[in-house]
Amino acid sequence: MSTPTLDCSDLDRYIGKAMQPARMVDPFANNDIRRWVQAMHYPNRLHYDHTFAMQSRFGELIAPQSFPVTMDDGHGSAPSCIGLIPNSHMLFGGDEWWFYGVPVKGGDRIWNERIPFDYTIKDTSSFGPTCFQRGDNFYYNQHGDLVAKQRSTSIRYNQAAGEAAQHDTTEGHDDPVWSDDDLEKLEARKYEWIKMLHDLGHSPRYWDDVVDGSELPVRVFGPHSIVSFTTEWRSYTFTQWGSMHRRTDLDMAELGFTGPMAGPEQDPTEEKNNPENTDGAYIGPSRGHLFPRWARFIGMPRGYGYGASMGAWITDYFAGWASEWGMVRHSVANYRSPALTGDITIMTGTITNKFVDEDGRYMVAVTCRMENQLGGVLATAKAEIELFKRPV
Amino acid sequence: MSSPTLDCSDIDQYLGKACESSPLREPVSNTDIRRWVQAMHYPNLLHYDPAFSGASRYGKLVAPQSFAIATDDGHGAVPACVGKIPESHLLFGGDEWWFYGTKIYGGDTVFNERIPFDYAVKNTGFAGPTCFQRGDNNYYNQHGDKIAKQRSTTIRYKAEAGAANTDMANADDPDWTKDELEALEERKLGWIRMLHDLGHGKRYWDDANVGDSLTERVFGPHSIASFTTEWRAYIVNTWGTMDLRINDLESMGFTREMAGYENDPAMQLVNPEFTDGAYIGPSRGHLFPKWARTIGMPRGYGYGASMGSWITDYLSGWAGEWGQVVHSNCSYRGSAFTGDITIMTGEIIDKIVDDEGRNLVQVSVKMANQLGVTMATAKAEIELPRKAI
Repeated sequence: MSTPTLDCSDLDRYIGKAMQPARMVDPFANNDIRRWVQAMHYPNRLHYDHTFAMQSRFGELIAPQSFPVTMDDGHGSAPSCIGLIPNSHMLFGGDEWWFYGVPVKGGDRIWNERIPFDYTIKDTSSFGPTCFQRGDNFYYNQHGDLVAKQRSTSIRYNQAAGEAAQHDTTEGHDDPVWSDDDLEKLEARKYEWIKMLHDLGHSPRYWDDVVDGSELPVRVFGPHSIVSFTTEWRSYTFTQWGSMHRRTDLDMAELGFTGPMAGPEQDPTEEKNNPENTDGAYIGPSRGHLFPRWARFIGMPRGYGYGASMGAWITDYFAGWASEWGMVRHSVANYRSPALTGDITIMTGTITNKFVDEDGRYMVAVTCRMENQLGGVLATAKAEIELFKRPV
Repeated sequence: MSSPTLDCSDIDQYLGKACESSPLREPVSNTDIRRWVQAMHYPNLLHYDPAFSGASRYGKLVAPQSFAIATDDGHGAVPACVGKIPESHLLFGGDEWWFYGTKIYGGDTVFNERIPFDYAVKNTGFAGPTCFQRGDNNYYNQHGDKIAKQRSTTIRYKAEAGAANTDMANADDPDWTKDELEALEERKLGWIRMLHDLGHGKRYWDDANVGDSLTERVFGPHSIASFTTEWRAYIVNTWGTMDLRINDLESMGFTREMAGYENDPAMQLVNPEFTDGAYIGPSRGHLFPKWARTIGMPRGYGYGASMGSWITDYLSGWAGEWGQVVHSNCSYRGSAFTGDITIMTGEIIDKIVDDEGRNLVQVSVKMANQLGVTMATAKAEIELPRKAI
């Protein structure tokens, strides 16, 4: 068999130039926020329970920090997936976030300016020559305030190399089986992190009380399923018919997606004609997430989760712990392998530093590791979190 | 084995008395409307495309007639499921609708007054003695204008009788070849083209003839992904969207393993994943085949309330933006299953001017799967515009 090659020469002409922005048709509704935290398995009452939210420092329901990505028509991956790589597929590889302290609420709009950043090609064991492409998303609200910046990394590889990885093997094609007893224990374990949120309530997580080297509470959720992944997908605003002023320059085939994965996802003309073909669940590059047959076509053993959701899980993990008086200022995450149906996700974290930054902010540095029940690493991350300082 | 019996005596005390409601916490948003038509496989531009709806007679996005049910906490089944029937399960059996011409827009609030109506016990091949219970939903907007009335029928039966009758020969989804799927997509497009061809135009009563067939509507194959999309479009299934009434499912006779905490307002504040109906509680069988089989279904199956919407959409899509369904009566005979497609056909069986002077056609509808198995039948009266003299 010949070694797959990857022609990335088309990418250069896009780097550093703004793409068409992502623009919403309607402002966010509170229910969009609720749908999002539900889909992200993030039961922080600040974001779904109106009474709790009204009693918070914000006095109303607010979106979690992870929320802006829901409005982008490529959940933040668009500027890192531009230019033709023939016969390729793409996975979300990670992202770096900067947050500027602007909350997002019902009634707000977000506008995303997107600029491709750079790319590099490396050999990987899974797919051979692989392009790691990066691009920036600048999320502004309707007042022009910069809410967040996201530098996304896409992993673009030869589709045939991915399919070959699933050829002649059925390993991992079936979901793991959980007994009723296992599930009961799992629910108790999942509840521990939720209880941490409830115990914290509206109180600050004081910077003064945090000890360098200490562990963050473990967060567990799942088992994932086609149902939960569909719930995630449907909570991204852009997956909804008519929700966005779509890009007019997006053609999956021109990016290099192959045959059955090159369907008209996000195509504004087809959205007016036969929108089911455009919403990303059934047809197009994203179909493999929810349909195992198509997962195997691109190198995944069964239904698999969304990279953008993993990014949100990390932001929520930190922000939930930080309390409504703290916030994630910066994070960088590497997605190493996706969540698969039947698997659970286990998040752990450690405080690695405690400092006052040059702006006088009280910060902790943390690491995060995300694994499945077998110890397989899904993602790693580092972040700096601003916490509330106890008054003197 | 002894025959299962069904004790329905507890129901009587509830008939004719309004049930507690679960009001919406937020007005309906355009987003909710779009999600609904997408979930219902109803690509009518009037309900999701800003430019098309802006150019319509309404001048803005408007909800389809089927939307009222998306605002209820039990998709219309609540007043038809009151009172305890020990160790029972429930399926949605059908509904009758009256529409009063009031439209729902983003920014509106919908209130549902629910009143249990009656019940009857009959023997069925499916589950032996079976209770057919009916209840009324009266949907109003924030101005007090009546939008619609829905008289729902639920089918309540012994859970053990259902499980014993699970047809495991149909446990697997049918396979569709690439060629079959391609042909299917073309067939599906037929009805969508009808919508586009009509556009903002009028479907004139004058041109409709008794015996005319309505354009066939086909959609699917259904899947866990599509059923989940449907479930998530019912507003109640998003955490925190309603002031949920306190509802003890075990006290209504659901078995412990199916009762769960679906729609439980206290649990929603503690561990809301238990309450949203996808993973835990009586609705879990729709999306998880293992649980479908405990209540007599061979694999993942669709929602009765969605079938009702498919019928309303089929008729109102055909009627165009100048017409409307004024009354329909639907019987759900079998569920949509994962891997199946749904084929809707209709025929005009009468053409009348009613005593209010409305120009109506009466239509019969049949909904079947690819094997010809009937999923639902309906009759409806549709008001159409008349040509100017």
